[in-house]
Amino acid sequence: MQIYDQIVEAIASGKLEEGTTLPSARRLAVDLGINFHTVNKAYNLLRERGFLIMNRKKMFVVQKSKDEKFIENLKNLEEKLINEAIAKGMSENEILSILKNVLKKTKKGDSL
Amino acid sequence: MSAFLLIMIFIFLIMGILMLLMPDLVPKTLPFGVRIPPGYINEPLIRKMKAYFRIYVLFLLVVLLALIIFSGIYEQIVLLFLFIALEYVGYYSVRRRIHSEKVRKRWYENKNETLVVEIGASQKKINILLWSIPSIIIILISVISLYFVYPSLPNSIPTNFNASGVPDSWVAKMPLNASLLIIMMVAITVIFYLLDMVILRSRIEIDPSMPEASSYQANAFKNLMAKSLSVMGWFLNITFLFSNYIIWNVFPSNDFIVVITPVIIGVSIIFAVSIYAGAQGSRLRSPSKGNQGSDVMRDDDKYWIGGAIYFNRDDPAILVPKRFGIGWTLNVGNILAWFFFILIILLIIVPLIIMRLVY
Repeated sequence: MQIYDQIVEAIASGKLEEGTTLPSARRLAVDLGINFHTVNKAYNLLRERGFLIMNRKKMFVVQKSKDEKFIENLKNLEEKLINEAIAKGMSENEILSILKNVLKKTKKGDSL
Repeated sequence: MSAFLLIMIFIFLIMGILMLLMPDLVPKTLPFGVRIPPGYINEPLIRKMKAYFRIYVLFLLVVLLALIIFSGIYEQIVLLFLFIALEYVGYYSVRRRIHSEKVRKRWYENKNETLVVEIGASQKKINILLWSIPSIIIILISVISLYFVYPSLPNSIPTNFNASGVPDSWVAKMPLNASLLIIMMVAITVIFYLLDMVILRSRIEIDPSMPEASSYQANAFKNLMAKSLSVMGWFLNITFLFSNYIIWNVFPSNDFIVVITPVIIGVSIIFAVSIYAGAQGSRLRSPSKGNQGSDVMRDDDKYWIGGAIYFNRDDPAILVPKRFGIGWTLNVGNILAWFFFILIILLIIVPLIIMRLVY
């Protein structure tokens, strides 16, 4: 799961650009010194969720596609969170400023 | 002084000097095989341990050198193993001291442990085949020489030479008997090719506190070592070429020293490159300093049995950088590493067995 999060974060921060070919699961497993299946699981999950596609050479490539299902999910998720925030008594401005800060931080990519 | 003793002295000196220098050849965040955060590299304890270790190794070297001069061949070999064992004892106790300090004072507490990987190669890898060409040429020279020399060879070919270079055993002249050393040369070339291949594919350890610099160093080091090993292969082949010429009686000298000199040159080159580059290239200067991070390398002490043997079942790597030394070591927890090890051993032993059967 850490690999999954880190790759998504790297794509978000621009460290992994669209079209970048990722190392093979075996290669990444050797580089990280972790089990091959762990990497494979993360790669497959990333592909299922549309962050990666497999090219002709069976290598995973970064893609940025805004699919309908994801947008729908995001809306639902945000609705839930915002409802909770309002129920806690947060104002519209407070919520917006938190969101903006998170966005700014992600774009700078100060981790990984 | 016998040639054997000279070679023994050479081996002792190479090993001893390397160990005396080793504390400064390894990455600063890995003193005596203990992974520490960058903030602790100047701890007085580490400086003290370096000094202790050096005095100990120097003492061993002087005493053992004095002993081998007065001992026979078998005692010398025993002393060599004793030297290795005692060096390890010194390393082990110093390592334990630093490790217990690290654990006791919680050096790794509240540190963000990170693993960094490179996406895409940052440096061009060397072409191993290109670097094997000189070895192949030397083999071809041997084959061609044999072709011309064979008709004029005497009916018995010497196979063993005593210490003063006089042959003391012979075999009948047959094409296979005359070309056995060439088989050995091919095996050596294959071994060095395989070693280079595995080394170039091995992982590099990137320090999150200086990712660009450490990735440059480690990649450059891999290329340098692969090159040096190829060159070592050339020199070994030259030694075998000389041996061939002696056996075929076309070489003016049959002096042991002449035959062994290329190997000594090869070993010296690897020795010089090791000192120049440092372990994992830690002494190489990166062209750009790159980013500085606040994260630290993962504390991986627990995978190192006795600080020397790497055992990690989850790690698919075959070779990993040595913990305290220059080069690589096998991941004993990986079955593939054992296959690789056995393959190399077979490549050495099979030609020897063939020789044994024939002679």
